[in-house]
Amino acid sequence: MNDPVGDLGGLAEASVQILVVLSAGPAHGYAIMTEVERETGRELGPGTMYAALARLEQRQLIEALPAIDRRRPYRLTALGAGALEAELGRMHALAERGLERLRRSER
Amino acid sequence: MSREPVLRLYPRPWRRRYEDELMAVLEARPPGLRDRLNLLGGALDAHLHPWSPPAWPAAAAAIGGIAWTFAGAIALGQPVPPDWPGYLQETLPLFLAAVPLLMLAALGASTRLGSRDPVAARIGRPVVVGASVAWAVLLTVAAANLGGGAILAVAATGVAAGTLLLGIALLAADDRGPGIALLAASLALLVPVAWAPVAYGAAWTAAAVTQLRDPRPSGGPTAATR
Repeated sequence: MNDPVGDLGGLAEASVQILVVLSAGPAHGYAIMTEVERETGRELGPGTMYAALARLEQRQLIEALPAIDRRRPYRLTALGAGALEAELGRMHALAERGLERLRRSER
Repeated sequence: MSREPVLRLYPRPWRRRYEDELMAVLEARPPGLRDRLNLLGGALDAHLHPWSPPAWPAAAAAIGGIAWTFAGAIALGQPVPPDWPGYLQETLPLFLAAVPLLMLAALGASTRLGSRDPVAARIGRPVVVGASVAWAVLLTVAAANLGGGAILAVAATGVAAGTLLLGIALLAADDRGPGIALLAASLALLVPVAWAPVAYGAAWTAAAVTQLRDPRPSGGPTAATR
C-alpha cells in the first residue's frame, strides 16, 4: 500500500486529524473527538471517527491498548508515525507552494 | 444510558469490537440528530467495508443473474413485434425483481475492496443505486402499460456506467474475476442486440461464481483487541 492514508478516500482528512492527536500520546475515543474539534474548529462525528479508527487499526497505523472502564485508548504505531510524517510532508509542500503563488500574485 | 438504536445497524463483528467504547463516547456526549445521522453513515460504511467476506453479494449476484438470464432467454425465444413493452410484458416482473438484487450485487462486489475506497468506487456506488432505483420505477411503469420505454435506456446506461466504474475499481485492486465479470455485465447492458439480456444475466452469474471461488477477506482489527 503506497499511500496508506491518502487512499482512505472520504476518511482521509479525519484519519490525518486522528493521527495528529495520537502523535502527542495515547488517547481514547472521546478525548480524540474533543481534541480534533479543539485543534481544527470542526466537529468530528462519532460515526466518522470510529470508521476512521477501524480503518487505521486495520492498516496497523494505530493500535488499541487495553480498555479502562470501557474507554479504550489508541496509540500511534511506528508505521502510523511514518505514514503521518509522509502525509504531513505532502500537505506542507502543497501549502508552501500555494502560499508562494498567492504572494507572487499579490505583487 | 440505554443502547443507542442506530448502533444495531452496524455489522455484528463491528459491534463486538467497538460498541462498548462507542457507547462510552456517546454517554460523555449524548448524540443529537446530526450525530445519529453521522452514525447511520458509519453503519453503511461498516457494511461496505466488512472485515470478512459476506455471503450476500454472491447470493444476490447468483439469484439476480439467473433470474435475468431466464427472463432474457424467454424474451429471446419469442417473436418480436415492434410495440413496447409488447412481447416483454410477461417477463417484465422477472426483470423488475432482478434489478434490486443486481444493485445489491454491485454494492456487494465493491465490499471486496476492503478498507480501500478508490474514486471509481466512490462514484460508482451512488450511480448504481440512483440508476437502479430509476430503472425499477420505470420498469414498474412499463409493466403497468403506462409507457416509459425511451427513458428506460437512460436508466440502464446509468446502471452500466456505475457497474463499469466498480469493475474498474476491482481490476485496479487486482481482483480480476469479479472485475472482468462486472465489466462484461456493463458492456452487455450497452449492446443493442437481442441476446444482450442473456449476456447481462450470465455475466452476473459468472460474478457470483468468481466471488464464491475466491472469497476475499479484507481483514479486521488485530485478534488481540477484538
